[in-house]
Amino acid sequence: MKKKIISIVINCFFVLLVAGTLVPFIYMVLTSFKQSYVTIDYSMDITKFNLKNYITIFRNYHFVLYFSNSVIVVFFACILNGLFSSMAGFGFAKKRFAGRDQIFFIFLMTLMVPAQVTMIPVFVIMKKLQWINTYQALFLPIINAFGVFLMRQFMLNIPDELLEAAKIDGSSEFRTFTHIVLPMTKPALLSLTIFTFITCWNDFLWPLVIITEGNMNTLTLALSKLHGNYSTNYGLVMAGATLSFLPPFILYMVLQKKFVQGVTLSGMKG
Amino acid sequence: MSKKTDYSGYVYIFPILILISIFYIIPIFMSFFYSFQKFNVIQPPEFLGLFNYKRLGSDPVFLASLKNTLVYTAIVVPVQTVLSMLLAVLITSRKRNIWTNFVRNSLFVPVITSMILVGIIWRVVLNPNMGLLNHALSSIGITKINWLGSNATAMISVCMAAVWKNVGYFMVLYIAAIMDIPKSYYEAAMVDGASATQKFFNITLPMLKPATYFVVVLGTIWSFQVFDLVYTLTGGGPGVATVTLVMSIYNSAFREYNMGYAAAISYVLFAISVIISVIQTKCLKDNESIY
Amino acid sequence: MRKMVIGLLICILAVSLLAGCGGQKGDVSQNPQQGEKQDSQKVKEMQVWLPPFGTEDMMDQEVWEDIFKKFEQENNVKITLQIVPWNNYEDKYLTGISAGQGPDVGYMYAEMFPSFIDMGTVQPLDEYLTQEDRENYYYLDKGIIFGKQYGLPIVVGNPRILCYNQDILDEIGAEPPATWEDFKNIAIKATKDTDGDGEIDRYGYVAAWGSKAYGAMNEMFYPWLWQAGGELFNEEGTKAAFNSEAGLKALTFLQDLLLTHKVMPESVIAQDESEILTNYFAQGKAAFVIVDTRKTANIFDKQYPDLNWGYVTSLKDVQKGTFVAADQLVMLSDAPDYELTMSLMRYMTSAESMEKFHKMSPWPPIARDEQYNGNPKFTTLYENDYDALKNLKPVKNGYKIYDYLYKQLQVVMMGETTPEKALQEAEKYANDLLNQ
Repeated sequence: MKKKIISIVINCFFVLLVAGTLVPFIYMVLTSFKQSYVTIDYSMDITKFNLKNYITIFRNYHFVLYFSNSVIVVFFACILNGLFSSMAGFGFAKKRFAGRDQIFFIFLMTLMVPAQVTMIPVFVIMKKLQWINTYQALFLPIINAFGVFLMRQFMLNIPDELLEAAKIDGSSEFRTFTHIVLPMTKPALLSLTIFTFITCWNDFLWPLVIITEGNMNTLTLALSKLHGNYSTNYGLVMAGATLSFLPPFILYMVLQKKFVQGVTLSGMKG
Repeated sequence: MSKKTDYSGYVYIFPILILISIFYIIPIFMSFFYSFQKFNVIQPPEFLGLFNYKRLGSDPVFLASLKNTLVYTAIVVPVQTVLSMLLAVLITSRKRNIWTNFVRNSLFVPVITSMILVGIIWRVVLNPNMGLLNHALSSIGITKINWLGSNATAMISVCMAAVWKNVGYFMVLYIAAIMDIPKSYYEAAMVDGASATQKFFNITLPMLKPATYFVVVLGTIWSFQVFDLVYTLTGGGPGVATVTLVMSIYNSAFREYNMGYAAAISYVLFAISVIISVIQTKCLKDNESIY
Repeated sequence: MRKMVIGLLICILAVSLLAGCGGQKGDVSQNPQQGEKQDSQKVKEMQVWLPPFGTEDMMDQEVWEDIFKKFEQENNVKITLQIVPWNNYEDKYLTGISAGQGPDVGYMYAEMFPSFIDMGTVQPLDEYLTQEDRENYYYLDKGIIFGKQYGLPIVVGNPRILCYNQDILDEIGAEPPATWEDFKNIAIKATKDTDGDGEIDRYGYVAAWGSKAYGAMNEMFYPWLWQAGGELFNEEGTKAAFNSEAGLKALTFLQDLLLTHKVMPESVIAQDESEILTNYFAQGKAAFVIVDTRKTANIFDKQYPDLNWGYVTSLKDVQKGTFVAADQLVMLSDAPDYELTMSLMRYMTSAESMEKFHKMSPWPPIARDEQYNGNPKFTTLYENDYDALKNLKPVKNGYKIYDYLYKQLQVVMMGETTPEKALQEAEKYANDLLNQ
């Protein structure tokens, strides 16, 4: 009996939490389908729902462009981060060379430095390179030592014998890396990619600094501008919010397990 | 493997070495030099000595941002750590079924959204007239609260939004850590007739220490860097109630064009994060190494 | 299968490296010098940055691109227009200009000038203005900063006016207010619980004290300060002057409205301008609001046609006074061809262009050659109340000073400090920065 009461209490607590988490999102999606000129509007008249906000946002606010900017940036960030991190991870885990441990330690230390410390100098560097308002200015700084650390941890588990056997079989260095090492680290690589995706898609401060040209806006940046600009139609803002929310959300729905794995892997550090 | 240097190692680390050098290592030093200069990106820099650092002490907005960032961290980190642990324990104590999976997955949704989105949504949640939160509170008979309208509640509001966003992430981490605790420990405790509370304090909590270390350190790092959320939710106001260090850096650099001063603030941020993580490591970790 | 994946990876890497090199100078379309037109007629590139004034259905981009067409043909140039959003407005100018990607023609408001003049990024116009220009433009004097003609006024107008809800005034039998006393009395009478549920649901006055930007003081503080006879800075712009008897009177009056008479909802401290307008005044839930004339057209008239509103330009205490924008076109020093840039600026402010622009944003003419085509409601405003319209003076470190003053005022409105202390604090801060 007592158990049952506890169970009910816990479940009620869960219901509250789930409601507290999801209701704002539901409100966001619903409001995006109507023209709402007051901040808070609970009248949800389904018959008045329409796609006008989405049409306005695509036609007048260039969201297709911003969407593709975000996709391009995220794509390159994921690919390059995955490739470079696994290369470096392999180098640190399986190769012996002078200064290896020192370099790795310096890499780890860079993770301790708040991004804001490097923000201004990187802006100046980007200016020197004439990279302001370019895609590479957005995706290159996303790559950091975290991926190297993650991949190295994973690659330490690859038995040396396996690599030596491959060598004896006449497999070239490059082939060994691409055919034996990479496939074995797939889970870590996938987690890293998911992380890069989320970080890059949601990144705000850096694009805010480095992008001055309207055409180069990322979706997240465009959303903040839509919110800040004088618009009395809250439905429009919510439509923008919904659009920026959907890609990570859909990815999460599809790859739920991998997300959880990703979090767990990142926690290995502890 | 042979003992001599394998030069192919350099090839493997080369691309990322270049990137990390250009975007992390060199900038750390550049920033340090800027902090002693007057520099607006357009004109050549001018050496100022310690002027920027001296000015920090008499800048009321900077001092407020320092205090706010510390208060924010002191609220958010303990709350999200305890809450996420509690949730993880509750969820793992239930049978795994569709419902508990749904709870877990729902709580993770804010994690994947951007802070900008969280800020926009929370402005609706916190609206003083009929925002979602006041609506819910008034239905159980609590009078409306002017969330973003006073010093204390504005800070609390920002903290609530941050916890709301982060708790799912740390909860998933804790769940994984709890799953790793060998079942035999609990079985042994059961034989000894330990209560649920005893089991929690004598087995779960000590076993979660490494995870807790990670949650606290990461939570602290995130807290020190809070910007996007405040930027959309309050803009630092009312007054200086929610100005944060990173916001001070951004405003000094890109609104006042004072890169040197911004660099000085960023070094203060750097110094504090180093000090705090050293303290945390001392307190929470026994003699394990970082990696 | 694996080979394909690896092949793909390599391709992507190659492409990305190419993109890295090729992307250095931006889009090909932005760089037609490299294109086929190189040796025939060189099409010059020009960049113009303007802020947004449009509404959802009438966008700045379209209006201006239509205006530019003629100039582009006549001068064989291609003009790229950027609409820079109001939030982050100054940041974008700094990052753009410092990156060498700034505009040829920009748009600045008074507070922006000092830093950019200091950095040597804006070009004085004195030598490019003809005698004809000097006779034609009304407000050239407003573009003189630190003794030189840095700006060409393009928007002189959009004054902040005190709007009232006629229905509420009728209900309590009041005439539109003329003095602070009138205003206070009406506001107190208007504040009440109209549906009898025990909660006040209609207020006397609303102001967006939760706005994130100090620009909100244009509506919320400066008019009151000026009406009380105060000033923000001394004549030379070297000392703060707002901590005066007049400043104290204005701020105390505002604090009392909120905290003593409670004619403003307490939650104004958490609401920005659009929230204030849409949740209160436009709903008939507030008797007064101070707002710029553009919003009366874009919001009240378009979205709330049933709202029965009227206005007075300014109340009178010691004197009349309210904020008016005096925003300027500027020529950036990086512009390659100053003569051409000047002729573009002249074209943008010509009667022909301004008539099209004023269809979107109904403001009064800036030069003798244009007729007033704005909202007929405001025709007399500029004639009768011209002396009451004031604009801000450019001062050094303006951003920090205004921002800190605004923060101090917010604290006063929360009731967490006194007007005396707040003004003293802000004055000390301002004078420190002005003396630097």
